[in-house]
Amino acid sequence: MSPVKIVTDSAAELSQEIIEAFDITVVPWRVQIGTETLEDGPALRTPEFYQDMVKKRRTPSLLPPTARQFAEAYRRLAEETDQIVSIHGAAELSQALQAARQGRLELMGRCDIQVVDSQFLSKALGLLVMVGADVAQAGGTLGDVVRAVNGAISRTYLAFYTDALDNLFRTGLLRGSREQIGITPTYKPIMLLEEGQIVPLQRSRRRGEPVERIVEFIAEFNLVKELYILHTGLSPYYEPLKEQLALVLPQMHYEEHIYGPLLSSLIGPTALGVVALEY
Amino acid sequence: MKRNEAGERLTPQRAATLDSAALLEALRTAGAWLDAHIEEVNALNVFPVPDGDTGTNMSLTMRAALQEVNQKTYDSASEAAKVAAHGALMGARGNSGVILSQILRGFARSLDAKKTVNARDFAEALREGAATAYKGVMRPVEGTILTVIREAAEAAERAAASGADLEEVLEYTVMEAKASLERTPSLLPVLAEAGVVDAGGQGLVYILEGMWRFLRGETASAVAQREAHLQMAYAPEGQYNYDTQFIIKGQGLDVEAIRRAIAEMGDSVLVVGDAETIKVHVHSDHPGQVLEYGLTQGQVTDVVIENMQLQYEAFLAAQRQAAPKPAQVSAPLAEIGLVAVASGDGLQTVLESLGVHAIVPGGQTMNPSTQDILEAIQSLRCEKVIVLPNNGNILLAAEQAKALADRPVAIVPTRTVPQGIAALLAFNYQADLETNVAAMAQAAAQVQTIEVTRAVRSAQVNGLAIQEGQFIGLLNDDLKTVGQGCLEVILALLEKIQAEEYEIITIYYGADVSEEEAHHIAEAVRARYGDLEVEVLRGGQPHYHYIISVE
Repeated sequence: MSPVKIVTDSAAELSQEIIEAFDITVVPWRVQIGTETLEDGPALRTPEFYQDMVKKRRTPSLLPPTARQFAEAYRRLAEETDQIVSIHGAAELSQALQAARQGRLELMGRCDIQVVDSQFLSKALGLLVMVGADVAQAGGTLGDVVRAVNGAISRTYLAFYTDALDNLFRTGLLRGSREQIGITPTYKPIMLLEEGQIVPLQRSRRRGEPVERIVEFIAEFNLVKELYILHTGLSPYYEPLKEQLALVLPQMHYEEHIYGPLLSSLIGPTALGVVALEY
Repeated sequence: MKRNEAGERLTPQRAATLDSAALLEALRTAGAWLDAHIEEVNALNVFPVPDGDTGTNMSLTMRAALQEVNQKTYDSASEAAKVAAHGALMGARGNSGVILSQILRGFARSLDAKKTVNARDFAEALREGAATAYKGVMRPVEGTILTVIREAAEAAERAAASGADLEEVLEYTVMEAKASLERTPSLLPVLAEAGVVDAGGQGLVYILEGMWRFLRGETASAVAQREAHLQMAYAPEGQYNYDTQFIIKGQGLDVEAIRRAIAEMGDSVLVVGDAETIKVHVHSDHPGQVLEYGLTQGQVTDVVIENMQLQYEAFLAAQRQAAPKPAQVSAPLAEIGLVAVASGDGLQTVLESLGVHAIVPGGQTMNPSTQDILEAIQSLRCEKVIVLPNNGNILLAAEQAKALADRPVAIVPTRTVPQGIAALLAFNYQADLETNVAAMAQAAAQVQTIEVTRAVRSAQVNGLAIQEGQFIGLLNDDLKTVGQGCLEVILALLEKIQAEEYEIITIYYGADVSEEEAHHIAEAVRARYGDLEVEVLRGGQPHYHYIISVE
C-alpha cells in the first residue's frame, strides 16, 4: 500500500525545511498588495515583509486557493498514492477548506481524499499538519492520520492579544457587542481560538497589562510539548513578553514564530499570539 | 414702483418690493450686521464654558447661506431664497444655526414662485419660517430664538395687514423682535438667573435689524465691516500667532503685577504661581517681548514657543491625510456604519478602536456643520448609519444630516463623549438598526459624565457664583459645581452622584493637562473610592481638562 500523502495550504505557515522533511504539499494563498499579487509562503513571514507593508501603508487582501488548485495538487499526488489527507484552517476563518472539499470531488473514485477541518489557523494548524505527517511517514493508514490529527486538536491552543478587534467584529467572527465580550476603552480580553471560533478567554476577569495576562495564560500549561510565541516584529508587546517570560518562567522553552498574512488580515499585524501543543 | 435689475448694486430707499438681487443684498447686510455683533452674541451664552458659541454658529450658518448664492443671479426672489436656505441648511452649526436655517427654509418655501417680495409676502414668509423652525425642534422651548421669530412674525403680519409698506413692516418686526427678546428671561429661568437674554434670539434680532437697515439704505459700509469680521471669526485661535509659555523663578515675585503686564501683551493669558515660581502662558505676536519681560522678573526656564498658525495648518493637513483609509477588499462591508463627533486625538483614537468608521472633528469648541456630518455619513460604504453627536449642541445638526442623507440614518442622542463610548460598547454588528439604537441609547443613559473646564468669564448660573478662571464641573452636560482646583471639582461631583455605587471610573485628560497631573487626580480618586477601578486615558480634548465617565 502506498503511503498517505499530506496536503495543506499556506495558512499552516510551515517552513521550507518542514515541508521538505515531511513531504507535505502546500497549496498557496495569494496575497494582493495594491496591484501586486504575491504567492503566500515563507518569504512573506518575515519582519521585513511587515515593515515594508507599514512603510507602503498597504493592507494586503488575501485570496484563498481555488478548488482547481486543490484538484491539480490532488491529481499530481494521485499518480503515486491513492490516499490523501488534506488538512486546513477553521471553516469560519479560512475559505481554503471549502475549496479543498470542492477540489476533492474532481478525484472521486480515483483517490481516497479526506479533508480535515483543523479548527485552527497559523502555527496551530501547522503543528496539526506535522502531527498528521508524522503518522503518515511512520506508515500509518489514512484512518490513523485522521485520528491522530483529530485527537491532537483538543491538545492544541491558540490565544492572542490584539488592539485591533474591529475587523473581527465587522466580519462577524466576533459576535455580540463589545460589552458582551468584556471590552472597555482600557481593556481588551485575550482571545482564544476554540472549536474554530474566536472567543474571549473568560478564565481571568482580572485586569492587567496584556503581557501579564499572556504570561498568566502560558503559566497554566503543565505539559507543554511545543510552545510558540507569535508576532510579526510589529507588535509592541513581543519584547516585553520575552523579558517577562525570562523572569517568571525561565525554564519554559519556546520558539518565536512570525505569523502569516492571513492571520494578520484577521487580527492585525501588531498582535501577540501563543500557540501550544500539550502532550 | 422702482424695478431693480438683477446684479445691480442697490440702495433701495422705501422700496415696495424686493427682487432677487435686493433680497440677497438684504440677507448680506443682515449677515454683516450679525457679524458686527458676533462677540456680543457670544457673550450671552449662559454657561461660562468654552462651548460652540451661538454668535459664531449663527454667523457661520449665514455665511454658508450667502456662499451658496454667491455671485449668481436669480430669476426670482423665491429661487434666490431657496438657494440661500439650502446653503444655510448644509452649513448649519449648533442648535441656533439649525433653527436659523429652518427659518430660512420656511421663508423660502412660502415665497413659492414669487419673482419679488412685497410687504405681505414678507410677513407671510416670516410666519412660515417661524412655523418651520418650531417643527424642526422636538421639544420647542419658549424664551429662545423660537419665541422671538414667532412674535416677530406675528408683528409683521399685523403691520402688513394694516397696509404698512415693506420697510415699515420690517421696522415693526424688529421692534417686536427686540421686545420679545427682552421678555425671554421671564420665560426661561436659566436666563433670568444669569441675567442675560437668549443668545440665539439676540442673533436673530441682529439679522432682522440688518435687513431693515438695508431697506433704509445702509448696505455698503455694513458689507465692508462684515468681511473684516469674518476674517477674524475664521482665525483658528484668536488673533495671535504664537503661543508662548515659560516659568519664572525668583524671589518675591508679584503674581498680580506680572499677570497685568502679560495681559497687555496678548490674550489667553494665564499667569499662575507663587512668589518663587510663576507659570506664564500667553498668545501674542511677539514672543520675544514676552520673554524679555520675563527676564526682568527672574530666571526664565521651560520656554515653549509654538506657532499656532502652523500648528493649525498641520492639524488640517493631518485631518486631510487621515481621511482616506485603504479599504480591505476581502473584508465584507458592514451593514451599519458608525459616525461619531469628537475632538482630541486621544478621544478620536478611543472611538476608532471601538469601531467608529468616520469621526467628525469637533465638539465643544467647534460645532461641526450639518454638511460635515452629512459628508461623514455619505463617505461610508454602509447601507445604514448610526450617528453619535456626543454633544447637546450638535444634536440638531445631526438630525438635519439625517434628513438629508441618501440612506437610513439613526441618531443616538449622546450628549457627552462617555455616553458615546458606552453606546459604542453596546453596538452589535449582528443586530439590526432599531435594536442597536435602543441598546445604545440605553447604555448611554447609564453612564454619568463629569466634565471639568475653566470658566471663560464670571457668571451667575444654577445658583453658583462663578469667577472667571475658576474650574467648573459639569455633570451630564449640566453645570453643577465650581472650585479652585480640578480635583476639588471632580471629588465634589463624584460625591454628588454617589460614585461608590458604581464600578469603573475612566478619566480622559485633555490637551491642557499633563499625564502626571492626570495620574495625580486618579490617585486621589482611588484613595477616596478604593473599591472602584480608576483608569486614565489621554483624551487630548481642547479646553476640557478632564472628561470622566462613571459607570
